[in-house]
Amino acid sequence: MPLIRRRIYLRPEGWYYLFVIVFVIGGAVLRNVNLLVALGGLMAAALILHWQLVLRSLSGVDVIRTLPARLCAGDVLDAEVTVRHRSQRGNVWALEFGDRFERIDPPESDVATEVKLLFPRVSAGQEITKRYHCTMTRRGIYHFGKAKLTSRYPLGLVEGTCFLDMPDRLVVYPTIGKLSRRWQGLIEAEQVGEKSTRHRRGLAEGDFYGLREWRNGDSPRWIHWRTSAKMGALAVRQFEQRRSSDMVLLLDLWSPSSATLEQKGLVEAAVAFAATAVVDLCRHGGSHLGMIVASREVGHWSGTASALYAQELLEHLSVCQASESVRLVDAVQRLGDMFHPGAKLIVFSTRSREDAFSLVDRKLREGVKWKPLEEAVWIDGAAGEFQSFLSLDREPRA
Amino acid sequence: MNVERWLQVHLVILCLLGSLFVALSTENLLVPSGVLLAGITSVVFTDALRWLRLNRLLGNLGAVGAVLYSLRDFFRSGSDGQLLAIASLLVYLQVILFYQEKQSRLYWQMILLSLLQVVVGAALHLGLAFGVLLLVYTSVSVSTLVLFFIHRETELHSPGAAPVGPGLGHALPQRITDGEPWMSLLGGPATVHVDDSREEISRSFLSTALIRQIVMLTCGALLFAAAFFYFAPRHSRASWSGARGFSRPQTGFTREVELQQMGELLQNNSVVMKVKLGDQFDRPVRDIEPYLAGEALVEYRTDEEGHARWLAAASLHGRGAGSPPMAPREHTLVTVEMRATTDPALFAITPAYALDRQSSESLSMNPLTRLLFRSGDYENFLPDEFIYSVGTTGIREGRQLTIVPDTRPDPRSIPPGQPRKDARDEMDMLADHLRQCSDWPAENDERFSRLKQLTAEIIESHNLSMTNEPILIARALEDHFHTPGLYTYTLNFNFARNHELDPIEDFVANHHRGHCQYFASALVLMLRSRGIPARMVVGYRGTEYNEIGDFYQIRQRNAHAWVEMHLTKEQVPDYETTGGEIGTAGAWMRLDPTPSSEATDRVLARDWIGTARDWLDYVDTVWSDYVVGLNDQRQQAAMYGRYSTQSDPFTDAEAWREKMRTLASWFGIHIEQGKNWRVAFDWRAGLTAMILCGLGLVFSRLVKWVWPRIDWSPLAFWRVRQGRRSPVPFYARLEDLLARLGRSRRPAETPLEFVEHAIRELALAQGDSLSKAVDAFYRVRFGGATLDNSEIDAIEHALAELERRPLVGA
Repeated sequence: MPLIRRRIYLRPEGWYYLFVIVFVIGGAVLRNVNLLVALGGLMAAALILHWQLVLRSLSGVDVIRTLPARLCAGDVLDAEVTVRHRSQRGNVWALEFGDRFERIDPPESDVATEVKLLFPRVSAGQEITKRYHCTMTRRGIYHFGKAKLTSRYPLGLVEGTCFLDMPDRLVVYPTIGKLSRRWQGLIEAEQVGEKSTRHRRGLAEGDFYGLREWRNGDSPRWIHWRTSAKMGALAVRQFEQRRSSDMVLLLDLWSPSSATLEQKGLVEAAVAFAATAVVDLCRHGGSHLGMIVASREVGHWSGTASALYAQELLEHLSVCQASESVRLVDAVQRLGDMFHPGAKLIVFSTRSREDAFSLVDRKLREGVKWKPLEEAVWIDGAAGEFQSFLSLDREPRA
Repeated sequence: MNVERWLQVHLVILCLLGSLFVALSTENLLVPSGVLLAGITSVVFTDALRWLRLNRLLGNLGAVGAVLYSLRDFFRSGSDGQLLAIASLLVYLQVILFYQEKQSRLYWQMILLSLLQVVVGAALHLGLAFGVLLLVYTSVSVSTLVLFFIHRETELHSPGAAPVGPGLGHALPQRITDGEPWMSLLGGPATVHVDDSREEISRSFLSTALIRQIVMLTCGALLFAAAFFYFAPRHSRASWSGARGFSRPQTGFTREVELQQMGELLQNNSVVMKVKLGDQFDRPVRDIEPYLAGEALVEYRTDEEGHARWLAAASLHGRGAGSPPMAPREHTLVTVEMRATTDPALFAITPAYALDRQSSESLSMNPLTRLLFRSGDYENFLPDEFIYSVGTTGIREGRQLTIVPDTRPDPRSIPPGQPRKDARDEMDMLADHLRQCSDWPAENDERFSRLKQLTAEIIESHNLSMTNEPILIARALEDHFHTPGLYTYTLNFNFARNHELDPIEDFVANHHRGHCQYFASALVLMLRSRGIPARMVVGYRGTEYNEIGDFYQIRQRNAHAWVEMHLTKEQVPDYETTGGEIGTAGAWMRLDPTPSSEATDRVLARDWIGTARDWLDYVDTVWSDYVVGLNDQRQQAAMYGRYSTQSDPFTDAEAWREKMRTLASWFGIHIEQGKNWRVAFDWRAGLTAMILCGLGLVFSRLVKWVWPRIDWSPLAFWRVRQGRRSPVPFYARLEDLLARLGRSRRPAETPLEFVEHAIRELALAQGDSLSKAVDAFYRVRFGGATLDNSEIDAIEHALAELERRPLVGA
C-alpha cells in the first residue's frame, strides 16, 4: 500500500470551531476572564487531541483491494477491500476508504466513480473485509487509481487523508447476449453447403467425442459423473461430432460524427453481437476463426476457436470504437490474407451493404478482392436485423 | 436506542447544563427547568413520535420574536442585565430548535448555543460551582460531539443515503430505453452498493471501547486545558471579578452606611479576603472571631425623605495622612489577601502597626480614625488584588481585646530636643475627632426622645445614674440589646414602619428589628446622648476559620458594624488588658450590641461535616485564587517564583563560569581569569584524559552493540520524506532487517544487487524467496503492479523468517 502523501486539514465545521476558540480566548485576554481562558483551553485541547487521534488512526493501517479478473458489461463488479490494523494495541475508529475508478479506454467523458466504505472500528491486529458492488454498464478498460483512507474521528472537525497508490486494471467485455435459432440456422446452413470445409473429429457419428457442460434437454444418461464431481457442475459426454467450418467475422463500426443515441446504441449492439458470436463459436472450439474490426483503424486477428482466443478477441472488442471514416478497403485487404475458399464471412454492420460500398472509392476497390465481401452474409443493424439474431437475455459466459 | 436518539438525549443534557451556567448567577432554577421540560417533550413528541414539528418558517418567526423580545430587555438593562438578556435569548433559541426537525445544521446550532451559554455564564458567575459544572459540561460535550460525528458517519454511509458514487454510463431517458432495446447497452443509471446497514454501523460504534475513548479524550482535554490555563502568560494583575451584582441590595462592606428601611437584604457569599493570624512563633491563631475594622463613621444624617446615613469622619484627602507606626516587638502578624477591589479601605485588627519600612509605604493611616487605607491614587484604582501584612497588639492569649490604645504619639513621650509639632497636631486632630464622636445637637433631644429616655431608664435600672464610669454605662447599654427576646436580628424589612420617626428611634421605640447597623447606630446614639464619644465602625467579622488552610475566610455576608467608645487614659481601669500602654490619646473600647442571628451565629462543628465544609472552603479558596483570580503576580509566584526570587542561577553567566571553573579544577584543569587567560594542568588532568578515552571507547562499543538492536521503524516516516527510504513497505522492511543484520545498502547499489550481495555475504537461507521479493518490489515500484495474496504471503513469510534470524554477535 504505497503512500503517496498524507494531508490533514480543518473541515468547515473545524474552522467554525476554531473561530469560536479565538473568540473565547480573545475575550479572555481582553477582559482578563480566567474562566474563559479555561474554556478556551478545553476547546483547544479537544481540537489538538482530535488532530492527534486522526494522525494515529491513519498510521499502522494497511489496505488491500481485490478485484475480479474480468467482467462483461452489465455484470456486477464485486470488489473486496481489506483493512488491517498492524498495531498491537488500541482501536482505529471510523476509517473511510475511498475508491475511485474510471474508464480509460474508450475514454469516458463522464466523471469517475467514487465509492466510500466505512470501517467503524478495527481493533489491534484485526483484519476487516468489506465489499462494494457496482453494475458495470459499459464495456472498456477501467483504471482503479489513487485510493484514499480518511479519518475524521472523533469529532469530525479535522480530516486526515492518506492518498494511496493502488493501481489496478479491470477489463469489462462487451455484453454477451443470447443468439437466436436463426443464427444457429445461419451457421448450420452454411456448414452443409458445397463450399464448406468439413473436418471430422471423432471416429464416427454417435461416437464419444468429448465432454461438455450440461444443457437443458440432455439425457441424464450422458452425464459423466466423475467429471461432474470434480468440476462441481454437471458435465455430459458428447457423442455427436460438431460440424465446424472456418469462419471470419467482420465488424463494420460505422457511425456518423454527430451520432444520435440510437446510432450509438446500434454500435454497441454490433459489438455485443460480434462478442456473442465469438463466445458462441469459441465455445464449441475446433474451427478456425478470424476477426476483423473495421473502424478508423483496422484490427484483425486469426486463430483456432478456443476459450483463450475468445478472451483475447473480447478484450479487443471491449475497446473498439465507431468512426465516421471506416477504412473498409483496408479491412478487405486483411480479409484477403485470412480468407480462403470454403470459409464463411459474416459482417456485423451498422449500415447496409449498399451504403458501405457507396462510400468506397472505385479506384481503391480495384486493387482488392472485393468478391468475398459481396458474397458475405451482411447483417445490417440499421435495418433492424440484429434483433432477429440477438437478444440481450443473459447467456452463460465463456 | 439508536445513535441519533442518544445524540438527542445528550443534546438535551448539554442545553440543560448550558442553562444551569446562567442559572448559577441568577439563582433562578426556572430557566433550567423549562429547558429540561422542553428537551424531554421534544425528544418524545418531536423526535420519537413525530407528532409536533415546527416547520422552518415557524421556527424562523419564533427566532425573530425571541430576538426582538430579548432586545427589549437588552436595551432596558445595565451591563449585567444585558448579559442576562443574551443568555435568555440563547435559551429561547434552543427551545425553538428543540421542536424542529433535527438535521445536522440544527445539531450544530444547538451545540453552539450551549457553548455561548457557557461563555455568558463565565462572565456572570465565578464560583466553584462553575468549575464543577464545567467538568460535567466538558464530558457531556465531548460525548455529544462524538455521538454527533457517529450519527453523521452513519447517515453518510448507510444504504438509502445519498448515492455513494455517480455510477458509470449515461443516464438515459426512460422512454428511449423502453423503445430501443440497444439503448440499454449505452449504460443506464448505475449505482454503487455497499454491504452495510445502518444498524450494523451503529452497533460497531456503540461499545464500551467507545466509552473508554470518550473518557480518555475528556481526561486528556482537561489535563491539556489545565496546563494551558496555568502556563498561558498573564499580563495583568487585574482579573475579571464577575458581574457587579444585581439591583437587589446585598450584604457587604460600604464606606458609608445607609439604613435600609424596605425590602430584604440578600446574603452575598462572595469572598472578600483571606486573613491569616500568626503569633510571634508563627503559630496560627484560631478560634477567635476577629473584628477587622475598615472605616469609622461618625456623622449621622437624615435627609428630608427620612433616609438615614452614617458618614465617615473625613475624606481620605484630609490632612495628615501618614504611615502607620512601626510594630512593637511583641505583636500578632495579620496577613490579608484581599480580592480585587477598587475600595482603598484596608481591614485590620486594631491597633495596626507596620512591620517594616516597605510595608509602611504601601499602607496609610487615617489621622483621625487611626484606621488603614491603601496608599496611592485610590480614586483611580483599577480592580486589583492586594496582599498586605500588619502587626497588631489587639490579640492576647488567644482573644481579641476589647480595649486598645489609640496609637497617636504621646507628646510627652517625645524626647527633649525632638520636634513635637506633629504630635501636637495629632492631638488636635484627636480632639476634633472626639468632638465629632460626641456630636449631639439640641434637636436630637426631641428627635430621639424615646432613645434618650430608654438610655436613662437602662442606666437607672443598673444604678449607674450617679456614676461617672463610662465603661459600666456602655456595658449596661450593650447588654440591653442582648436581652433575650427583646430585639431580633433580621435582614428582612418587610414589616410596618413608622416613617414619621427617625429609623433608629423607630427601631428602639417600636419594632426592635434590624441588622447590625441598626444596633450599632442605636448604641452610638445612646452613648452620645450621655456625652460619651462613640463611633460606628464598619468592617468584617471573621466567623469562618478554615482548619485545612489555617485562615479566616471572609465573605461579604460577614460584613459587620459595631461600636467603639473613646476612653481617656484615666477611664481605662487597671485590671483591663489593653494591648499596649495607654497614652494621652486614650483608648478605644469595642462594643458589639448586635445579638446573634441564625445567619451569623455559626457553631464551628468539628465533626466530618465541619471537616468537609473546611475542605470545600479550601477548594473554593484555591479556585478563587488560582483559577478565577489567577493573575501575573500569582502565576509568577506559583510557577516561577521559586526561581525568580533567587539570583537567577540559570541565567547568570558569571555563576555558570564559576561553576565550570570549579568543576574543571576537580579534574586538574586550573583556569585563571584575568586580563589574560591562563590554563594550567596537573597530574589529575592526565588521569582524567585517560579515563575519558577509556570511557569513550567503551561508549562507542556500547553504541555499536545497541544501535542495531533498536527498532527504528517508528521513526521511519522521516526517511520516507527524505527519499532515502523506499515507499514500498515490504522492501523498506527488508532493508531494515538486513541493516539490523549488519548489511546496509551502499551508495550506487541497486536493490537487486544489494539483496544478492546480502544473501551471499550473510549466507542467508532464504535466498530464493528474497530474490522473488526484490522482483516483486521492481514490479510494484516501477511497474505499478499489484501483488496477489499468495505473493504477499510468500514475502511476509520470508521477512518473518529473516526477522527471526539471530543478530550478528548475539
